[in-house]
Amino acid sequence: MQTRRQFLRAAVGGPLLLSLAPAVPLFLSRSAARAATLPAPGDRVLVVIQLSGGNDGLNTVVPFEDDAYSRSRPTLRLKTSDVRKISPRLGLHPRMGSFERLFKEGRLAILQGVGCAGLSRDHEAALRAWHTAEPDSSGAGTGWLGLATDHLWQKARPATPGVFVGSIPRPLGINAASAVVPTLRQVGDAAPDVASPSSGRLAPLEAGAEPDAPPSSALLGHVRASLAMAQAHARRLQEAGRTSPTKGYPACALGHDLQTVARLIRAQTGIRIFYAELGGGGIGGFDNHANQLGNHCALLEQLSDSVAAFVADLEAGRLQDRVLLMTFSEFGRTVAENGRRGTDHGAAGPMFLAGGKVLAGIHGPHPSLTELDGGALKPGTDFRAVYAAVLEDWLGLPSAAILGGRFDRPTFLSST
Amino acid sequence: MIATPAQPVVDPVAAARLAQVDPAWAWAAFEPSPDRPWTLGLAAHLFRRAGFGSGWNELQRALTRGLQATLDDLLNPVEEAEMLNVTFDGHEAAAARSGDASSFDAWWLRRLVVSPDPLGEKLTLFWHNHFAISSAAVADLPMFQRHLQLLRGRARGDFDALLQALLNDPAMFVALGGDQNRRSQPNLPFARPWLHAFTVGADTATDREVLEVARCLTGWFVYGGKLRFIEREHDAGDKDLLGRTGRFGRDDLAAILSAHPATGRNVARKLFRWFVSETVWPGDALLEPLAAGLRRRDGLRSVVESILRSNLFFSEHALRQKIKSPVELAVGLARSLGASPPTVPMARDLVNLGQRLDEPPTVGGWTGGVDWINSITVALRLKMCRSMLDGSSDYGNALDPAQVASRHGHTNPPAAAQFWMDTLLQDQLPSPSRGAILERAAGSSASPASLREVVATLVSRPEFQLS
Repeated sequence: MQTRRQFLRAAVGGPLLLSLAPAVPLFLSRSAARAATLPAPGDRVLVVIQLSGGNDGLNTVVPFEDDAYSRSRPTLRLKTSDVRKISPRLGLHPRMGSFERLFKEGRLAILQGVGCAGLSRDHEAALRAWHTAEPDSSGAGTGWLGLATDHLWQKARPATPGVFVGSIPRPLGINAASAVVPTLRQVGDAAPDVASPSSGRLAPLEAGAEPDAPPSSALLGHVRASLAMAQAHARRLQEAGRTSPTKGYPACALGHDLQTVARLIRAQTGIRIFYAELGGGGIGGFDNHANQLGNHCALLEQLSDSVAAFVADLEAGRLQDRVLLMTFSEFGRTVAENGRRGTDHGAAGPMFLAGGKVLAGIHGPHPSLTELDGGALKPGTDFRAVYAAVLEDWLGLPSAAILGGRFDRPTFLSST
Repeated sequence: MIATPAQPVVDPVAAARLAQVDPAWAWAAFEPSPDRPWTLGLAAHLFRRAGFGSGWNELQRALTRGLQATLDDLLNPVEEAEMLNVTFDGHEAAAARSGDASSFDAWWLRRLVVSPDPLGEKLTLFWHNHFAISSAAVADLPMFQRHLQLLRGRARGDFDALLQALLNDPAMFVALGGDQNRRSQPNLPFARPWLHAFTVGADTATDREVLEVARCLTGWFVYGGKLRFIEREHDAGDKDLLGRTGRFGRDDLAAILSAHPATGRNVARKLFRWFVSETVWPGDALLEPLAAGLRRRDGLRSVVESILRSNLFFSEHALRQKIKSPVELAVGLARSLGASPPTVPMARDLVNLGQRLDEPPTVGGWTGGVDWINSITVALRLKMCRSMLDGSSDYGNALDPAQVASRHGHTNPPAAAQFWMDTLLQDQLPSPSRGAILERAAGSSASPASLREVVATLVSRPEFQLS
């Protein structure tokens, strides 16, 4: 088995040859994107949404038929008549109407009971485990999406392979060893000087792109290629700003961030990994130890409406087959509520997947509500197995090297 | 914990050129001659590499005093440097006690901007990039600040002594996971960086050796901010380490690791990448004189001196063969204008450019080179430089090109433009671009705002990203 360190040596070391020509990634034409086969790995985009604080999976994908559910949740239980039924036993939270629609249209997958045996129930430690994919390690400074970004960077220089879109500090999950992962708050941040030109200024990028003598060093060639790419992106972003739908996204931070992501995909910026976030930034997010009901409703509605708007936006641009969206949270909550109309830190929870190539439906059994571990659901699927499938089957990357081990990959992507 | 060897991307043309180089010529002292005169371009190159750039006054002084005297000045810091360091240690310690890492970084950046000992700061950063631990992993900012003070105090010294000091530094133990290193269960991830990243390298050390280093370090724990020895936790048995056998403990490690030939080569290779070139991967023969200096315990000051004086350093093999790190870009721009802009926004901008000073990404440090610049960070770099110059952003009005130019007697637009071209880019622009920029300056009004635009254009040139 290859260790993470060996992977880094392979990915970073080499020595690799630096090309003088800009490595401009190729994109599928629209007609090709419409084809029924899985798009080429080089064109696929991954969007990961972190639900910060530990989402209560039981009140998200609700086992309304299970007696144990109503017994355990005297004040928090959602009424059978209110939940949005997606199977004889399961229903989505009443405020997730958009997810119900996506599910019924065959565009949403739910992975049930995802977690990791023995995972800490401390926010920081659990989040660190999800970020690093190393449940036992406390030291790593890089995350699984960061290492994936490093891998993509080696192949696609100077196209930026991974970004964080949001307003909290960049999560550890996308910390890379060699690639620089920028934080973007709005579309213009991806090409700042060009996106807001002020009159009378000498356009700096044009100054850099003067057809001077051929580059005197490979490094100058790299800088020029990066500038030329930034210019091209800026032009296409302005176009995408004109053609993208501006309606449909809810007025919340996640809606804004996913709209930004959609525009960056549409403008062919070559970004392959987007990391977004919901619930962080000091308000407690999904961490509802008391009076959970109201706050949880609002967050789930934001999630469901934002993702649905994003999917619609992609479909309008016929980009849905190139994009896979995935949600995760550091843990679920306890099955029983805690006497303060809230729940405490738990273990397994559901993950949502959306995109043109997901196998829609419910994957994996719902964890038992009576055979618990410390009051919480036992995980049926290891989150690293889900990561492995995303890395290997979607991004075309060597999952064992990035995750430090092999995992049986669940099947949730269409092979056609 | 991940040890990332900083193996660079290689430019095949530069590599082929370097392969022809005779090591004896490479490290012989560069003697300026009529064919190869001491120029503004070479002086600026020296200041960029040995420090963080230079303003017009420093460049002129260097031209007047010549290469040798300029180098001597860099190598032997003035007394004020020590006083300034004491003052800034106080500021940084206060920021560290408040637990605010971004304020800590801002003080560090201010020190880089104003320090009269830029080489000392460059070497401190070199060691921070070599023994790269993150303040997040230390999780105790005052402890991390003391660690940096240690690096700064020993930056010009002997590698063996530095390693010895770091093996007695609580910050290193906490950051690398020393608390989990038990006699009954030695912690390999804690021991690995000491071999792979800091000394002999992954090619030399076997997994067995990693285990032996972990055993040597058992018994040492951080209590109350200090390292303490708990004898019953120490494994006092024999260890086989790099061809030697003995009942080694922590205090034997520095000597064993630093004496190994691979350590000298690895540190020399990193010094080469730091000071000379990021586009080639030098062979052992070329590095041997530097490695030998490190083995002789000549001290880093002397090894760095031999690099900075060398033919190779002032040749095409080195000129423009590095990309400015984000810190070099921002601090260099400030120093070029002789200005001290607010460093809180600077620290913020550097995070997004990939260089949060207190948090190197792995124990391998920042990989640097072409990794710094991608299609987004290149635009963010231009944006930061323009914000620093535009006089109305949160950088304030500290950088004032018109004022500096007029202080040196350049008030008409073409003269002022020429002055800034010489200060910022020297001879690096191809002549069509020089002509175009001067022509545009000649046609513009003699206002401070239009000179800001000229300078913004200069720093937006791709050449300005190179060191």
